[in-house]
Amino acid sequence: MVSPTNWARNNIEVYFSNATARRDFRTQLRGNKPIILWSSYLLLLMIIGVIIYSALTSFSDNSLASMQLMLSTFAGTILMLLTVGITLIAPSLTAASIAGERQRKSLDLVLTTPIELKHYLVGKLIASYRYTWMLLLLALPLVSMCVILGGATWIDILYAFIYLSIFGVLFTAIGLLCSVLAPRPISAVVYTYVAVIAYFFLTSLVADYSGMIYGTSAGFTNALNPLVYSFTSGATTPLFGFELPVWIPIAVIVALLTKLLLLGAGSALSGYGSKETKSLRVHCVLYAALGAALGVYSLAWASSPATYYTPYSSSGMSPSAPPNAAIVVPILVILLHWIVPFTACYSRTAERKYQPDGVFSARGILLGTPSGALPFWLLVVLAATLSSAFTLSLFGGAPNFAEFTSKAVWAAGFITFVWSLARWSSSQAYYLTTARGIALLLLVCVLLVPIPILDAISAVQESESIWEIHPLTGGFGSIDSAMNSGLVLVAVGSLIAAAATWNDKRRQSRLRL
Amino acid sequence: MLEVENLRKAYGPLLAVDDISFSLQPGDVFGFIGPNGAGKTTTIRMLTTLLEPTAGTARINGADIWRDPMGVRRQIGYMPDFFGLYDDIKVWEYLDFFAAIYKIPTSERQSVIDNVLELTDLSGKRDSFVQTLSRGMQQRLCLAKCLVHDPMLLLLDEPASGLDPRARAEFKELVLELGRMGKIVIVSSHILPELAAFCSKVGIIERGRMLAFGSVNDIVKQARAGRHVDVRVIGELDGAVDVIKSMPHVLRADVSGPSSFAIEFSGDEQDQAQLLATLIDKGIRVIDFRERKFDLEDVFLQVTTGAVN
Ligand SMILES: Nc1ncnc2c1ncn2[C@@H]1O[C@H](COP(=O)(O)OP(=O)(O)O)[C@@H](O)[C@H]1O
Ligand SMILES: [Mg+2]
Repeated sequence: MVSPTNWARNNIEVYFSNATARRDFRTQLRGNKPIILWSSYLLLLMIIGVIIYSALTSFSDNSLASMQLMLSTFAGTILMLLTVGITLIAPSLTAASIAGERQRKSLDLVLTTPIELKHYLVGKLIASYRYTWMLLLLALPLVSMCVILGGATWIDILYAFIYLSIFGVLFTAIGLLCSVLAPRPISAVVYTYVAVIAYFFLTSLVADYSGMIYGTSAGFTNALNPLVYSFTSGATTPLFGFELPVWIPIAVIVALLTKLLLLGAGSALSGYGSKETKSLRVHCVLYAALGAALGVYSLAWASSPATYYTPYSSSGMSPSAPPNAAIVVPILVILLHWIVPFTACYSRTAERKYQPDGVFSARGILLGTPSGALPFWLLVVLAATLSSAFTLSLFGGAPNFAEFTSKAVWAAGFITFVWSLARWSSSQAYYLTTARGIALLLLVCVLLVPIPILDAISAVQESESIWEIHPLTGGFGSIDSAMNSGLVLVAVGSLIAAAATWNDKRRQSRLRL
Repeated sequence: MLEVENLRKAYGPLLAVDDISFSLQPGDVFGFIGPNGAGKTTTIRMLTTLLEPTAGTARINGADIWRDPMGVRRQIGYMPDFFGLYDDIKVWEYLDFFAAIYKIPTSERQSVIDNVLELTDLSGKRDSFVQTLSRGMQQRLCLAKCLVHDPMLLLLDEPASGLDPRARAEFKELVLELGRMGKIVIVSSHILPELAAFCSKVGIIERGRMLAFGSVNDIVKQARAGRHVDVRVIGELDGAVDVIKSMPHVLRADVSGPSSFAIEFSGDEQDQAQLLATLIDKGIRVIDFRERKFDLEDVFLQVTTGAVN
């Protein structure tokens, strides 16, 4: 039973008197490494500040207006630099935290204790987040120069710091997950940068699509990208009839994403049947629904009547029901499909929970075993479809049943196909990493390699019809083509999976395992 | 108690651990002996829940490594073959961290830490930084860390490697003390003499298979199919061997030196006395007639070359 006092005590243990955070804190402050790190950071900030300032002054004549513009550009540039600095430095400082423990072989000592992974990971997050805050605090002298010179107000700075500390949590959590997944600290840093760049890329696509860059949208999804969005303002966004400060929905989304990332890390560190994996699977399904809802929300802003939008006010603007809301499902599936092999590949050699346990089982969904991979992903598709249709109706649109069904069928077919490639590569390889590598390679071969070939053929034929054979085309086609393409993908996937099962049986009898 | 049932771990086509079963009682100090690559570390890591078996299971006081890994972790202390401590942290802080993980109340931590430091003879190093400790002391600190929660089962993987003889002797004392405290201690090693002297039970593992298991005496008895006698004579060596070969119960008799031969036979002490009497009756001048004493080392050599299998 969970009593309120137990709950409170538990939370205090996790967030306020976290043993892991305390231990890391003790070591962080000792030795002269931090001093060197912080002084060089401060020095770098100063140099950059002086360079930008002198560059800007050389461009401006001495009129008041151009001085004003120059100073606010200076403030904007400094804050932008701080954003870049935090997004670059925070994850790389975190990346070593668990991969480093693995390398120095102190991780096993912790993992053989009955520690709650939540305690451990939140502790690590807190310890790394302190670095992010140090980065922000140390930048304060430089940033306050902007205020003193007159390019920005203290309120601007306050908002910028709120946004940056929110994103600091997210980037620290990305670093932490990569640190768990990577075998060595250096690869953790690489993974982290790839993940952060992917995050920026995706969120700038969202911002671009919903028109933020052209100043026509007030949807808060734009602000998910701290580089595109100008934080020096107390911007608001309309939500459920309220004018909400943008940082509030952003903080909520970042908190949810952080939770997902930590659950992912916890699941990766835990074994068969762990509660972290169960929780991760449940959250993934819910978050697929949330992601689809946010997608439809962005589309709604993109199809809003284009009134001019200033960063300070969104009054008079409203999102409207997007005609193409169902497209969110294929997009989500394409964004996520490369994760499928990591859940579906199996190996008898696997250290934990990825040992073969059948082809399709609902029990495996929560256990996180390979047999649960396909049902899990089908559930994700279902959640995304239902949620996007529901969100559409919130904006006053009437979901077209046939359209949503066809997109869902295509998405299910594509997932099944990717899953079958993972099954097949697992039936060929001895080791889990090999199986995953082969599966990802196959994906590249099937999805990317045909593109130039199809391009050439369609140029010769002077018709686009040849593109129909590409697995992704159906997802963006008409209702019929999505449906047909989905069914073909299911059939091909089932054949490959059957071949894989047969292959595996033969191999097993040969090895007498 | 610890029950291990048909534990098995495949690495690709290689069976690193092949169907190992045994059980241990509180107070047992178990020597887990085998050459490098035999599968000791793999077995131990499966018992710690760090590695999932391909098949089989193990239970510690009823907690199953598959079904209740947290229950298992609460009852074990694990010292890996290679481990790292943290830099820039003091000995007591290190132990305080683990005490906090094991949810030992803040009020008791001080005395728990003092106790384990006392037990591992590190009281003087309480406020030293861990990176300044010698290898032997770090090993003891790791053991101290394993003891803060008073575990039922201690898993020590090659604890004596890298220690000088003195530290090794101290470590041995410590392990014996833990056994007297009623814990199950599993100590692995690829060097036999390190363990033979003080373990109450011994298991010999090679290529993933447990070739022998039991108390040292049992194993020696079990491996010694017959008695072995070394004989030295003056002159007439071949004649003496022929005489012996014609006796009952003699399995084999081989020349082992210019004036000596070795007998392997399956009889009892009466028959052994009869052997000597017959030799002397036949006029052979025996100057040495000695039963070969077996120890674990011989068994180990005999067993691991596949003689008993
Ligand atoms: N992660 C792994 N992948 C592949 N083979 C492994 C792995 N770990 C251990 N092995 C193999 O398993 C066998 C047993 O190893 P191990 O348990 O470490 O032996 P020991 O501790 O007795 O020296 C060795 O042949 C080793 O090469
Ligand atoms: Mg070993």
